[in-house]
Amino acid sequence: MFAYVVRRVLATIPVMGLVALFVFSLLYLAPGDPAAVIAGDQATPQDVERIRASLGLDRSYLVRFGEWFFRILQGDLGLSIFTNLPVTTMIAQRIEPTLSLMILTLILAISIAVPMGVIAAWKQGTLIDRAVMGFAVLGFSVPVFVVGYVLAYIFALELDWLPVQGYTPFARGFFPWLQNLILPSIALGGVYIALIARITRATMLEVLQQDYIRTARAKGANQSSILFVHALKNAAVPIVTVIGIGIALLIGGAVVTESVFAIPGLGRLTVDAILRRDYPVIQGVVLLFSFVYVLVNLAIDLAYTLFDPRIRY
Amino acid sequence: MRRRALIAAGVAAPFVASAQVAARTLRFVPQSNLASLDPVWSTAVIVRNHGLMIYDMLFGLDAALQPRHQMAEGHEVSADGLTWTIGLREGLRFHDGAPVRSADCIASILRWSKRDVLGQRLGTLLDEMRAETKTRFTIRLKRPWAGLAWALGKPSANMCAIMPERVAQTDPFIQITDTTGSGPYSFRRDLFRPGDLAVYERFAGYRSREEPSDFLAGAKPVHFDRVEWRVMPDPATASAALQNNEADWWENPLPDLLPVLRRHREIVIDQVNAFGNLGVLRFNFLHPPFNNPAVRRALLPAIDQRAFMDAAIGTDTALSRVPSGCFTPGSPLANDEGLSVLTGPRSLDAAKAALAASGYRGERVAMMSASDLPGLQNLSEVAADLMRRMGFNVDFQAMDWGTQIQRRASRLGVDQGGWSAFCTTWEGLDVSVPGSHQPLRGNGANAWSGWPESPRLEALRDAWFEASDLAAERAIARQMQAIAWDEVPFIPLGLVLQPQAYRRSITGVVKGGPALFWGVRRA
Repeated sequence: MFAYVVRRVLATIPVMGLVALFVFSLLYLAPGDPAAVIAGDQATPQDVERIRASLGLDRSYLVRFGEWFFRILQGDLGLSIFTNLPVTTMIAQRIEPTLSLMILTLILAISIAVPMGVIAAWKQGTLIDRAVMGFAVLGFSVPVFVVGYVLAYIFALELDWLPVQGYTPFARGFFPWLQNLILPSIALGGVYIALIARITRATMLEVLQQDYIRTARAKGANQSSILFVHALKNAAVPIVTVIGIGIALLIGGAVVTESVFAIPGLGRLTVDAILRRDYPVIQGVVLLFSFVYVLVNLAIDLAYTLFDPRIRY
Repeated sequence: MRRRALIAAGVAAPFVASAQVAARTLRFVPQSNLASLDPVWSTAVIVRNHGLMIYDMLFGLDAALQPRHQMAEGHEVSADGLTWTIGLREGLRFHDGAPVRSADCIASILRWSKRDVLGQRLGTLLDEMRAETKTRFTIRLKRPWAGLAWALGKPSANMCAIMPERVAQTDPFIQITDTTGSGPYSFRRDLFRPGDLAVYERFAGYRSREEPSDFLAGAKPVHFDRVEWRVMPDPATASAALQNNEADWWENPLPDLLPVLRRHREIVIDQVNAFGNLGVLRFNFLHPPFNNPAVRRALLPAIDQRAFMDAAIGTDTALSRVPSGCFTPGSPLANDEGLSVLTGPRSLDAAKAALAASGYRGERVAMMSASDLPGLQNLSEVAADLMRRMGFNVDFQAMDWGTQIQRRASRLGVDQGGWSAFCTTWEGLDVSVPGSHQPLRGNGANAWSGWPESPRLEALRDAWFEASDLAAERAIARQMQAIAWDEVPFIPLGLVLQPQAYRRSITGVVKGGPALFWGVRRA
């Protein structure tokens, strides 16, 4: 097991190398010029060239990539072209809100979606099942920003229960932190809840047809024990897989949610950087997201062993 | 009873203190993200606004756009107009406590003169700058320039921010890292989170002038201990935050949201910036079809500035100004020379006939549109629709602003990735005088994107620098506008007057231009 983990962690190195090459090349080829953005309309072409040179953007692809890659190996993601701040500092400033949002959404989604899926499977064909599936379709169909606006209108503007926007760091108290994150988490969690609930229902339906479930029933096991101990544990592998895949959904959804609720997270940092062509920031954030995603996949692979003892690495 | 009161007071104390702190903090939602901190290095309006918070200037423009002494106690110009002697007010200090000296001003002017278009004019005219004493210095010119005070006091990018000498010695093409300023607010760099929060604190050592506040001139009294710029990229969120009392002031409410805000009894919609932004339709002079002046002129009979303004800012006529000539309506040089080309009866048929007679052969018109900036996108949509109806072969190309900025620097033909036309806006202060009016320049390869070549416009611009008084400036402006209708380097589309929204408890907002944070207080 330990050897497997080490192997997988080492395998992330070439993956990250490829991601780095891809991200750098894509940005190199993409249209847009930060020097022109900085110089503004009053600048002469010579001014733009001078700015480009001062930013090192006039050098060849290989030189720029080599320098950037060498710095990454030392843990240095470079400086933002616009703010002149280290990219690591900017990421550090923004990581807590995004992590908080994702973790809370994850907790919320799993704690709602899994029981929903289990109950829908148990009550297959009933009104409850149809209601759960209807909710799932709604969750998939309604965009995150629409849910966000509706929630903000009802719970902030009309009822005045929660703030419209912003983020309070966890260090300033659990409840202020939670207060700012409830609406964004619900908005972001909608599609995630729908995804997990559907897969849970489908997997549970399959598992509930198995012989050992009939045996458990024959032995007189109660319904909740059958559903949540016998069946759910055996249905867990695909559910955990979907939860892992859904992390990518969360990362994408966080960009929109952070904008709608003015949460200063990594999603907004990414969008701002893309619009301004702040290359070092884009590269740093995309690398971070890729790394997180690789780690999440590793964690999911390891989690399989907890749910299915037959799986060994 | 007494014990209960004591306990109550103890419990309430932190909340009372918190409320007092909140009352001394102004929560402001700026128009965009403050990405850079150097108003000489960056031309972004938001960076200039940041500059006005933390830097003072030698001169300041009043609401009539006339330069008045600001950091300068006074100035003298020699009889031949070649030597300007500027004396500094007593007691001026930087945020680190150091006194403002002549050497700081000279270094700041020199750095600014490398980047700003009027500063570059100073660069070409400058013989020498010399510190006579610690608070008195001279600027010696090769030729007289009456507009120097205006140039040193204009707030449009790039502003001549007075920085400590050690900071101002930074290469003007490299961003400063030290935000020690000279203005009424100091910047808390340690609390700065780009894209989210910028914090300013009242600078206790700032020495305000005695005269009443008048735009960028006069007193700059500060009534808040702290101003927080909270970036909200989503207009609906900013609107909700203002309604929910989570923000005090929003700089650029979306026109669509104005009716909602107007209905809120605690919110005021106000026209703070009278000089607005001039809508501009710009052509590429290097390639067909707009390298042909007759094709450019053919558009004029069909241009309906009201239609452009309705699309840009909505149908409330108080939010725009038409007709607009080449210079900002309401500014001293605005005039009606030849304006009948835009104010006469609008006729699509006349435009079609003019286009047919122009020699246009159906060449593709690559019309660029910045899809992430709704106002500009709407202007582009109206322009493209008009061109299509006239019979142009329009290829409408939507892209983000970052791409458009790079694309419009391309001088290649349309088939090689070049462009034909685009719409944008220029800050009213920039296009109020010929010196900084880039759309009206005719300096060919060095001109703003489009690269028109017009010796007549350049000669008049040079003459404006030498103009001795306002009457002479006005005469030049009239001639320039007359030429503009003939050569059509751009077409003015109207003046967009973006309103601001703030809580009714906020009073004393200084009118004139961008959001300013002196004079303003909480009632």
